[in-house]
Amino acid sequence: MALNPADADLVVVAGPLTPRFTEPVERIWRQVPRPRAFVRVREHEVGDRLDTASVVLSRGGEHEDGGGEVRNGLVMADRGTDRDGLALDRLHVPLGPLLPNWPAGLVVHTTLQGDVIQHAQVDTPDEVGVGEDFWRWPWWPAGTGEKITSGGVARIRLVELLDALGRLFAVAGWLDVAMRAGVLRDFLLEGAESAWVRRRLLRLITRVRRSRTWRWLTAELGEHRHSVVGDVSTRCSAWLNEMERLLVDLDSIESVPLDGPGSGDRSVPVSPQRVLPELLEGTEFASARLIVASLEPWRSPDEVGSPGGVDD
Amino acid sequence: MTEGTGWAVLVLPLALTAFALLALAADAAVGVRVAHARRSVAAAAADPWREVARLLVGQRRTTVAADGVLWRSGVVTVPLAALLAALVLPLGGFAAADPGVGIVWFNAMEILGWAALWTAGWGPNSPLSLIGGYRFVAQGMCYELPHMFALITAATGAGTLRVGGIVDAQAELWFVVWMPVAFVVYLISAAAMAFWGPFDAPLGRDLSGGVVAELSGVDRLVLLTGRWLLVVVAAGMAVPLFLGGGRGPLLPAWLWTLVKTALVLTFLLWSRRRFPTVRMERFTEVSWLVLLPLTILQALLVALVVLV
Repeated sequence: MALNPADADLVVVAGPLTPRFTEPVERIWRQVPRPRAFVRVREHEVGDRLDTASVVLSRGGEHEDGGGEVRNGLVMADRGTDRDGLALDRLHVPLGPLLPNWPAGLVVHTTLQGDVIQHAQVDTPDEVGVGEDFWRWPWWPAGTGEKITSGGVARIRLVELLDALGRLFAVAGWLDVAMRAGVLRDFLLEGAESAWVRRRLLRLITRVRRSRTWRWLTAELGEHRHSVVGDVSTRCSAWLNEMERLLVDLDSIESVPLDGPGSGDRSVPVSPQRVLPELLEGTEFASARLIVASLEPWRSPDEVGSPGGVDD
Repeated sequence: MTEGTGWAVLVLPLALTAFALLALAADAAVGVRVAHARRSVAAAAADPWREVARLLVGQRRTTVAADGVLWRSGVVTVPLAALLAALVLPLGGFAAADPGVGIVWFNAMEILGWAALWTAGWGPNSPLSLIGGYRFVAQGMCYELPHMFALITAATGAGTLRVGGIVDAQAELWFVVWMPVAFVVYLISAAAMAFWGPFDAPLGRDLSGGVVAELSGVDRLVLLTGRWLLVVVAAGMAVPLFLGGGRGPLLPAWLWTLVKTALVLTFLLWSRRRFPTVRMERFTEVSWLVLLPLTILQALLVALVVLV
């Protein structure tokens, strides 16, 4: 998957294109160099659509019309003193709503001096829950009278955690581990055998826990006096511990009461969104990306709006 | 050491590119296993060729208010710096050039890469690209001093700045044996100078590609090829500096050089997969408070041995 429009050939919109994303998707499309293709897919037609697109691309043609190559110029607002008291240029750069390995839909308006974030403001989305239905997956059979098992619930939470971990590792440039997390997520979604998943996931968990480099790079990052727990390193460990616990339940066929998602464990006392500006201000760009990736903004969907998008 | 004629200058880019493509194909094959992808290793090994074709036909894009001259010249300078540095690389008993200041030449050309990446990051007038440029300058401040002391240590041991002379000085004992610190620091800085993982922050994923975020088509191809050339050249230079050049039993000298280069390159490919990206915000402390004093001590030790 391309990291930027410049490296892309194909823009694929999977699922509904809501008003919040219309303008950003158009902007991305304008920046994609030719030959290029634009594809919209609904469920179950991914393969066909991509085949058509690849034929179009191989002919060097263009699918769907697009304007010229326009890139927004930078808004160079003013100067201000940096953390050492030097007067430096300030750049206003919005992060999101569409950025690789970023919670889809989240927008953080930043003021940058060099690569230090001087000011951050989180944009509260007016529309909630892009792809939210996706995480209701274990409850889908609810209407059909099929039984919901705690194994199924464990599976979807594992998928969700692996998605978050994959994003965190990708942002950290730990490609090998990010890729392994992504593979496990996809295989779990496809209903892979739990013994196979358990073996590989435990190996992944052990590898991350043993990495001293990882701890050194993520310790003392994104700490907050109250509301969010620990730093990036401990939040990652907490995810690993939770995954280990979930693995125990993976085979369980015990029924789960039908109260649906959003109850109990899915809410946190303070929305990560509210503390995000405080966590980000004064950090360097790379640290800021790690901090965002270490939180689960979709855990309080009312505030942040959307669950994590499914990246590469 | 025999110095090459004009044709060596023509062959050198081709040979280095071929070596880089082989490494790329091997790396792509390993990637398939990690990704657990349902495709053959052979198909994956052909990926680099497909990518080259894709970038060759791709449209070159530009950005609003870009500084075209700085941008394009930065992009072109990356492979250029790698090739110029490679002029002093010996292959067995043969090199395109073996000047009396070979080590200084290598160091100077590799520092040309700083300017290249900085201007390539600055040029497109895009924040993520610009931050990528900043990052490489910060990285340079961290790796360069320990790196220079590592180079100087090898030169001190041989009593010459000529690369051929350094190889000759290892007839008895390879430098890696009695200058292990300098060798390890050289390996770290080899990755850092080629902005290679775990020192790939200037092209970081968190920056959506950083310096290459706005590059498409042939521009992208040139910069990324340059990066592969840089990593091959950096790996290749470890051989004459620390690993005895073409010395070894049975095989001819040129083949030993290739084998040793491939081994160092394998290590660099492995470490990219193995470690997360090292942020300079954390690494500065290590490089200035640990690596720098260690390399100075190593240089001092070698100087004492040479004098006594």
